[in-house]
Amino acid sequence: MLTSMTTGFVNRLRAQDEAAWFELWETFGPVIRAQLSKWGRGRIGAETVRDLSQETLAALSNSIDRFDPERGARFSTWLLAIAKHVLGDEIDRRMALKRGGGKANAELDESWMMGSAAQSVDSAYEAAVFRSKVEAAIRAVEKDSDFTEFSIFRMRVFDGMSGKDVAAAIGTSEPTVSRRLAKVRDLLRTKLSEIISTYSFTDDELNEAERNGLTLNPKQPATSGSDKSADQAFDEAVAEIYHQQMELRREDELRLTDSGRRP
Amino acid sequence: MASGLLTVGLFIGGALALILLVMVSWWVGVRVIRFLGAAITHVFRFIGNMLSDTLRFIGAFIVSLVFVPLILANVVIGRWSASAHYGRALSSEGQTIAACLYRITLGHPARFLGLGHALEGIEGRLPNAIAHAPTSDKPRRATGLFDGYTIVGSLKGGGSGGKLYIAEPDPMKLAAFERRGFADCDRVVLKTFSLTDGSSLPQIVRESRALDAARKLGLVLEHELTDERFFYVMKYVPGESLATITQQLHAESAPVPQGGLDDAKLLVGIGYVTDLLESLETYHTGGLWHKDVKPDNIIIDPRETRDGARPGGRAHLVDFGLITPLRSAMTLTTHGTEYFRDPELVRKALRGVKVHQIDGAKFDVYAAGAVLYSVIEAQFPAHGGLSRVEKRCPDALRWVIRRAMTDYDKRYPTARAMLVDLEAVLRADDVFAVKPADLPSMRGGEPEAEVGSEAGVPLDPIEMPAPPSVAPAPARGAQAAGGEQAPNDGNEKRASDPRRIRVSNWWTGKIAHAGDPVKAAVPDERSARRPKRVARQRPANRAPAAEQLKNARSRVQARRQAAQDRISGRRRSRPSKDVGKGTGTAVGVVLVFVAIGAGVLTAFVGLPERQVTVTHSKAPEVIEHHPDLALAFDHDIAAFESDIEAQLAETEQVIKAAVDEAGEVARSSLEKALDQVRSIREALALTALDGIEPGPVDGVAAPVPAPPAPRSVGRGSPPSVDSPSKTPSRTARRGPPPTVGTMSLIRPGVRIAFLSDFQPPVKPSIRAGADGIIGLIEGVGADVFGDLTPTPDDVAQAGREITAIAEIRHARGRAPIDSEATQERVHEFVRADRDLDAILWIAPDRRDGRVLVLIATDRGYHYDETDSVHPGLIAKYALPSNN
Repeated sequence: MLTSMTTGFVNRLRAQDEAAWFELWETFGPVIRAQLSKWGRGRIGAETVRDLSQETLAALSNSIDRFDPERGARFSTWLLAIAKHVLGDEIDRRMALKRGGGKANAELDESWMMGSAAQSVDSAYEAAVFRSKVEAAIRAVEKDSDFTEFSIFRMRVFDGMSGKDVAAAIGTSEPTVSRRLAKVRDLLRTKLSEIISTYSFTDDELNEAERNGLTLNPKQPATSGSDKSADQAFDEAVAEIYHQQMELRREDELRLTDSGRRP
Repeated sequence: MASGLLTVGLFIGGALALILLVMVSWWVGVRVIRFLGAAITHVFRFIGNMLSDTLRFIGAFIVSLVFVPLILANVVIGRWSASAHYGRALSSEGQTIAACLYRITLGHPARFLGLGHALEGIEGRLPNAIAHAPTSDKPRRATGLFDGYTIVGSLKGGGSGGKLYIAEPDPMKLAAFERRGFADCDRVVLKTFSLTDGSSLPQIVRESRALDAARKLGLVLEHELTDERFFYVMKYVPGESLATITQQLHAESAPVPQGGLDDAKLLVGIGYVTDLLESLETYHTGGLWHKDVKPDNIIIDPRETRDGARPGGRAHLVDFGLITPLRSAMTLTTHGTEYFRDPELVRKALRGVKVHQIDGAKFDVYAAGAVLYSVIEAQFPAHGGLSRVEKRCPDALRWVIRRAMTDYDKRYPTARAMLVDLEAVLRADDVFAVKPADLPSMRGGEPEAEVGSEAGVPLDPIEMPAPPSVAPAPARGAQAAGGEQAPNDGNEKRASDPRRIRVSNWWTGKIAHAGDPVKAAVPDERSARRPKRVARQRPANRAPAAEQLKNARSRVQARRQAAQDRISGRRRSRPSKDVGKGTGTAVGVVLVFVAIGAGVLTAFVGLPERQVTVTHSKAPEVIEHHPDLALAFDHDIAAFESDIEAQLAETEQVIKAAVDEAGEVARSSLEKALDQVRSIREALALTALDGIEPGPVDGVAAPVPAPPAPRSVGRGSPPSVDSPSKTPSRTARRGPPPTVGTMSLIRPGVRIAFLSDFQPPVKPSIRAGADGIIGLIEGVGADVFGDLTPTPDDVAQAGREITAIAEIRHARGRAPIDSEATQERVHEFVRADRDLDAILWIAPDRRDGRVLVLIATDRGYHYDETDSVHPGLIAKYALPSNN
């Protein structure tokens, strides 16, 4: 079951909105690269994976029309299917260019669209895709919130500074820090809801946040504990996901730099 | 009792010893087993690797053997492309064989013996060093040498395809540089692009785009475009790149708890970034955007020191390959280097935003923040603006990095603002004691105040309305898809209650609301395309877009027409192939003479427009002030007429002689050529040229008959007496300049761009003439700016002028000003620019040393050649009185 946000985003991709493709690549690029490298086990070199840039994705975005999320696949699986297809198509295209002639687009591996467990990717990949959604939400919050307020959130949640230290650093009081922190946290919850709605095809994906300790609506009856403890748990979960995502980015960077991009 | 206790004690002790023994045995056993397992794995991995590489080697060798006869066979049958193709394949197989041999003989055995680290240099550093080695120290012979420079070395080229040479200017060049205020230019860097050396035309165009502006700022000493290549000259900054220096700083730094730089090295690193920001400020106030700020493009000159206080040399920003005027009308491109390029730049570029619609300086600020991050962390900011500074770093510095790399709308508005904060950190006795709250930007917004001032925003960049966010913005995506015009604050509403819909047919795009399959079936074709239109929608305040589009279309139409005219002209002038056999010599003679006749005809066809020009020149008011003009015209016309007659007579004689000698077959063609000569003469007799009376000096214009077949010049209708001002005036080369109206071009309030293609040092006579023109224009209260005018003291004004000059030069293209296309383009530029009334362009004629002069107004243009530059070039011109 798709939400209007999901459909809207997919429609943007289908309409070959390059900005949507860039958005997709910026959000999920490292995850896809990591998974492709893992699957490739050396057969897909870092150079090839690196070349799967946003421009390539945008240029080869025609393939989106062939993918049908309705068949029960998860968004994560669908995403990887596109990347896999694009990668294969790009390799074929380059080989064809080397041979000096053109070649039709590669046939799609539509078996990826099936939702069976046998075709599913591993749990580590699923977790990485979810973390990418959280990261996208954090970026959206950075864009929509005041710089000082978001900095307070970063210092408090990501850097682990105490409220007192944060207040001293930016020259304000602790209650102000708490108030601004709460404001950013609420915005992050809102953005998380939106992002997850956008990048999810199944109900299971829609409920992923709660399973990962991210309570999007702390006031709902099902949530146990006080608001404060729920907020604290939310902050800890966000921080943990952020740091794990940082690690993924760092590994991605190492792969890229090892293949010749060191500054 | 005692023995019982002893027994119990012994029993417990024995049990404990036994347990301990078991545990130790277990611990040791586990490790031994693990070791054995690892050893066996190691051995098997070695065997497996050796086997796989051996098989790979054999396979590659067999394939190579197959390729060899294929190559030879294709050479024999002359299929060179196929042969080259198989040659490349053989080369690839050869590399595989070499790699396998290396691994079998050295790589795998060394790793098996635990000597893998010894191979790091061979497998990593050595290939890397070879790949980054400078290219040849001398340019290829085909490319040729550089006049005035002695090549003494080379540098590793960047990604733009250009080659970099270190050169020493000769004394004459040095003197020229010094006259222009460039000291310490004993060594320079030549960046050259040659089509024969592998550079592509787009690369050359991109590099040359803003170099005029860069030259004005002293960043580029000179640049030159020839038929073979394009090159520009920069100051040579000896030293290593900041990327290398950063690695050295971290390697030499004393150990600190969190890792990273010690206090002294940290200050040195910050100092480099302050140097960078100072350079960026110069760029931005001069109206330029560097666009490729990264550690590789920052060279640390160890000879220089900053105020003599900070060790470590001074940082210089180099590489002007992507430099762009901040107010350029070009569409934004995604060029730049990943990690140091703000992703927002890519989003805007993908949306088709123009350069002048954004503040490019902010993207340089982002890159400066990324450079500062890389200095602290010794690695890329892989997480973009969310990258975490983990190594030892003062809080204030961490704040500065985040502020520089945050969202486009919230980051430091200028390099100056960031510089002020960084200098505050540098000035502190203890940089770790500085809190973010102590930064100037946090204390009442000093940098922002400067930014808001005239000095801070020199170019007054055109503000673009906040574009629709492309960062994950589902609500916007939904709006794009469904066309809902929901306000921003409606996002929460949709998020809390997302509409559940189902794609009923993915191919056709039909969607339906969950639980209501009948009600909502939205046509997908439209919904799928609508987002694209929304995403590419122009900002609301760009009202002139329609006008720009109209102008662009008219330009395209004009160029298309010009191209068609050229093509049809070629077709007309193509010689007839209907010639008999065995008459090659005669036909050759015929074609030569026909060509001569066509040339004469072409010259003749040019007369009507010349005549119209003359007609205009006889406007009473002008002639009254310039009686010499009419006499000059009369003399010129008479000379031209006799010249044509002489050419016709000569052509006729030659053709007649050829007719006598030619065979029967060629005779008919020669007769046709003679007919052409006769028709030219008849046309000449009938032309209005004969009707032109000597220019009346008493101010009364003589009646002028209409030309027999007026050729349209430029755009619009043929020139007429009634509408002189609507027709571009273009005279034949070397003709005297006409006037095109009744009001002097030089009058108060007029703004004229005066451009020059003369390379410095400009000859004194040219310089004096140019000064006379500038004095004439300024003397009547008009405004003039350009290459030969002094740079205004007001940096904002200077920036605007630099940008305007760069835009004019870009619009003109690279062709010389004597080409018709160039003249059209310059004229179109004046027409499109509301602030500019005319462009005066002078250039040297490389053929005969004369001076080419182009004057373009929004009503027309005039091209001429003259012997010298003097105020009379422009004083004779007039604009229509209604202008």
